[in-house]
Amino acid sequence: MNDDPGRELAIFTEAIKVPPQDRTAFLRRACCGDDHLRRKLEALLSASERSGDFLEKPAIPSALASVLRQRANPANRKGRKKPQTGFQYSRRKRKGE
Amino acid sequence: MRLYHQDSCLALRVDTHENTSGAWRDGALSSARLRADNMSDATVMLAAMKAGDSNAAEDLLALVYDELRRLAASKLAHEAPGQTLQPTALVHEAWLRLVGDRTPSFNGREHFFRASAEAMRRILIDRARRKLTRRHGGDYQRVDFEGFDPAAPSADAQLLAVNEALDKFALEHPVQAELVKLRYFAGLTNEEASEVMGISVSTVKNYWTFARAWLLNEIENQ
Repeated sequence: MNDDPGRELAIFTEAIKVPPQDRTAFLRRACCGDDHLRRKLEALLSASERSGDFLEKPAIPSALASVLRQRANPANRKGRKKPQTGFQYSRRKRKGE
Repeated sequence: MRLYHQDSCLALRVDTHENTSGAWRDGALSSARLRADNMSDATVMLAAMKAGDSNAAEDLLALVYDELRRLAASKLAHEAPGQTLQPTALVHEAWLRLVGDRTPSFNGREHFFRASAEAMRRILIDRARRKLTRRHGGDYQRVDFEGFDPAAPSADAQLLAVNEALDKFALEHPVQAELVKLRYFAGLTNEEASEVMGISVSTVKNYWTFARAWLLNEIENQ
């Protein structure tokens, strides 16, 4: 279990900007003798080098992402035709109460 | 209404092709293969959706197929006779139900996108599990990842691995895990996530780099 996740994130964010050849020294200074943390960060930096486009492509189709965007956009909501469903009717009714 | 019932999904397991959008286009959904509450009405509704929707909506419907089928069946059971249900409206309604729009205050885009991401995650994970267990045959059981060849993971196994790693990630880095859900399960860009989460784009990018490294490392060590 990570004792200080914030520190892990902060050091990683700095270390990733440091040239690879200087990272070992940087980590040693930043981790202040916490070998567990240093080893974890070395593993994370190594994984980052290999990450390529891992997770860059969303798990949902782009058409669905577009639907979500439209749905979330207030401007679109104003112009949206009222669906003819019982659910919408009862929702409007609740709002008017 | 709970977003998601794993048990009920299993009870309503439908013997469709794995590529559900293919099944849609082929019209291969015979009544006998549906185990909806009201088989003939659901079939009619599904045919209407298919006829009226564009390609984009077809992708959407393929993805939430099981949820929509159940919603259509229960909706038709409660609908007044003679009432016409517009396909697009049913999609919207199904989506609202899935993201829990019945809650009293649905404040803001952040809530909407988070709820959507969570709903998509649950739907995708359940589909991946069912597809994997179907391939392996037998009753539903949690698939042991050690059995998979890491050199060639199926998309489903990969999704499940990501999900498991994400749960662990969320315990230590909840904000960054939220970003992953928004980007990966709701398809938000860095800029959109920045707006929704109320943090700078550069912070989003830092979080994203960290998250991908963390998750990859976790998956490799699972």
